[in-house]
Amino acid sequence: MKMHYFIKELGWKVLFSIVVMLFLIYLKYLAPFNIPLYLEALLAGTAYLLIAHKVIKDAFWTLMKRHRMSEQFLMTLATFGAFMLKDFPEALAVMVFYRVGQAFEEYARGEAHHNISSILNLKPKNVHVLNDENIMRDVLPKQVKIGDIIRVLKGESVPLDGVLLDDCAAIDTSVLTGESEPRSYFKDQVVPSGCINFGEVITLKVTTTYKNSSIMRLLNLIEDAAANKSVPETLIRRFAIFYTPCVVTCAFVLALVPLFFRDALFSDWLTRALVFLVISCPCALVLSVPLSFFGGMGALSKLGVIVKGSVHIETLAKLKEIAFDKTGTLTIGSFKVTRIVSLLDFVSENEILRYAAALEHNSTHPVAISIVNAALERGLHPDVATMVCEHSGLGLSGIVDEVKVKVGSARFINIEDHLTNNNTNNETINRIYVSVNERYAGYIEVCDALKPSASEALENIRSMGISRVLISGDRKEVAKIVQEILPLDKVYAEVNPLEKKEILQKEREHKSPVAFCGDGINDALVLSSADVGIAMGDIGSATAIEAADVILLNGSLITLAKALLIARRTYNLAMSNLVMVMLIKVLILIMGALGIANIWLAIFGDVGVLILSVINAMRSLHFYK
Amino acid sequence: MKVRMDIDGIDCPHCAAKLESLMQKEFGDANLNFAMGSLVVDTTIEDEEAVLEKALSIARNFEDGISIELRD
Repeated sequence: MKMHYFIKELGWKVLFSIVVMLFLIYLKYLAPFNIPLYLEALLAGTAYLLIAHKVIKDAFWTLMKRHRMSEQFLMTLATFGAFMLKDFPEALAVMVFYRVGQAFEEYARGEAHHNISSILNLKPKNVHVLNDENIMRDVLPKQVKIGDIIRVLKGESVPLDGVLLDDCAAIDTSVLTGESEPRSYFKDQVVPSGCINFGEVITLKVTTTYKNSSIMRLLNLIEDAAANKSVPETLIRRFAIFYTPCVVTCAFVLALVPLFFRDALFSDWLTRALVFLVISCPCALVLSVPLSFFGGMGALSKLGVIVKGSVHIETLAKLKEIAFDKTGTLTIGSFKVTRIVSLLDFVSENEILRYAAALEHNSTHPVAISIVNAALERGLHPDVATMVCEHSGLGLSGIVDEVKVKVGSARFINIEDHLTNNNTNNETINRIYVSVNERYAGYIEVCDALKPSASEALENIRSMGISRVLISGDRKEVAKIVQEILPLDKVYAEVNPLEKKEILQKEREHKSPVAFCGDGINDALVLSSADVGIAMGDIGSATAIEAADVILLNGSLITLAKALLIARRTYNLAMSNLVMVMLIKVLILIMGALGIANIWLAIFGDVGVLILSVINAMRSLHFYK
Repeated sequence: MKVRMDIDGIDCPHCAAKLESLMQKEFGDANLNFAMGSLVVDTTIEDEEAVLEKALSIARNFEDGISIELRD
C-alpha cells in the first residue's frame, strides 16, 4: 500500500486538523488541566472550517438546487449537532475522518484503476506509418487505414493488428495469452495488437481499424465486464438506496424523543441521533463488494483468463459440473496421420491419401488439415476434387480424377467399425474411412494427443468437488480410451452439434450450475446454453469471444483449475466482507439506539469499516499467487 | 452504438450509482464504472459529440465538478 500517495491525497489541512483533534482529545480525556471553553471552541472551529468549508458548501448547494440530502449534508448536520453538545473533539473528528474516508476511497479507486491501466498503457498513442516514398511519419491510431504499412520499433507495443512483412519476429504475447516466453511469428502471419515487439524493428501491413484491433476489443471486454453484475452486487445497490433514508429518519426520530418524554436527557438522545447520522452512509458496502470482484478479475487476467463479468465469477465459484469438448480442449487439437491402410489391390496407400486430401482440401477441420499436410509431405500432388458435398456429421463426397470418392466415418461408408485400441499412450486415434466408386477402399488413422497437463488439471477439479463430463463427436471407442486416461465421471460419444446442446440441458437438470468448456470453433451454441461458457484460445478467435463468458487465452487446463480456485476465493471474500460490514453497522446502530454507543464508535462504524472492508476486498488482487 | 467516455470527479460510489441510473433514464443503456472512471453508453444517437454534451449536462445538474471526455 503506497502510504505516501495516500498522505499526499489527504493534504496538509487534514493533517493539521488531525493534530488539533488529537490535542483536543488529550485535553478532554487525559489531561489533568483544562483550557477555557471559548478557547477550545475556537481551536476546534478553526480546524473544522479549514477542512469543512467545501463540504458545507456542497451540502447546501445540493440541498437547495437538487432538493437532496447528500452525504455531505448529513455529515455537516452531524458535526453541527456535536458542536451543539460541546463535544468539540468528536465534532472535529467526524469531519476529519469523513475527509480521510474520502481520500481513502479515491486511493482505492486509483489502485483498481492502476490494475487496469497496466493494460491501458498498451493503448497506442501514435503509430509509425510508412508512406509511398518509404518515409516514416507518426499519426494517431484512429487515422491509420487498413492496408497501411507500419513500423514497430524494438520494445514498442504493436498498435494495430497487421500481417508480418518480415521473415520472422519475436513477439511477447503475455498480455493476450499470459505466456512469458516470446512467440515467433513468421512472414504473412497476423500479429495481434497489444503484444510487444521483443526483437528488432518489424514492418506490418495493417488488417483492422483501431476500433476493431485486438487490444481495443480486449479493453472493451474488460470495460463491459463491469456491467455484468453478480447477484450480491445488485442486491447491495438496491439495499443502499433505502438504507440511508431509513437510518436518517431514525436519527430524526431519536432526536425528537426528548420532546415527548420529560425524563429524557436532551444531550443523550441527540448523541444517539448523531450516531445514526454518522453511520448513515452505506459506502463501505457499495465500494467493497464490487472491489472484491474487480480484484478477482484482475488476478484472473494475470493468468490470462478473461471473465466477462463478476456474475460469472459467482457462477464459477458455485460450479457443480464441467462438460468438456474433446478436440482442442482436452487434446492439443493438432492431428497427425500415423497409418494408411489400403484394402483393395488396385488402390495404393498413396492414392487413398491423395483422394482424401483432394476432398479435404478446403476444410478447416484439424483432421482435414492433417490429411492434406500428410499428402504434401509425401510429395503427392494435390488434386482438384469436383462436386464436393459435405454430409454433416458423416463425411465428404466428391469426384477426383473421374473417380467417385467418399471420405468419412464408418457409417458413411456403410461398414462396421472394428477399431480396437491397445493404446496406452496419451493418444486418441481417429479413423477416416475412404471409399472409391462406392467400394470400401481403406482407412487413414489420425491421432491427436491429450494435453500433458489434462490429467493433473482434471484431478485438481475433481478434488474441488466438481463433476467432469466429456461430450464428444468422436466414436465410442475413442471416448472410452479418454475415460481410461483422464478422471472423468461420464462420457457422451458420437454426439452431433445439436445433441450437444440437449445433453447439456439434461445435465443442468441434474446438477446446477454447469459449465461448458470448448475451443469455440463450432461450440457457439453449446457455450451460450451452459450456465457459464468457457472458451479456449487466442483473442483472435472472434466466435469464441462472442459466445463465451470466460476466455482462457493460453488454452491451458491447469489455468482453468486455478481460475476455479480464484473464483471461489473471490466470491467468499466478497460475501464475508458483506456480512462483516452489515454486522458491524447493525450492531453499532443497535448500541446507538440503546444509548451505549458514543460518536467515536459511530466514526469507526463508518470510516473504520470502510477502510477495513476496502483493504480486505483488495486482497483479491493478489489471488493469482 | 457504444460511446465510451472517461469520467472524473465523482467522490462516492453511492453517487456514482445514482448518476448511472440518471444516465440510464436518458440513454436507455448506460454503465458507469466507478473504479475505472469509465462511462459507456449504448445509444441510437449517431453523433458522439451530441452524446457527450447530453452526458455532461446530466452530470452538471447532478453534482459539481464532474468532468467527462470522449475516449479516442
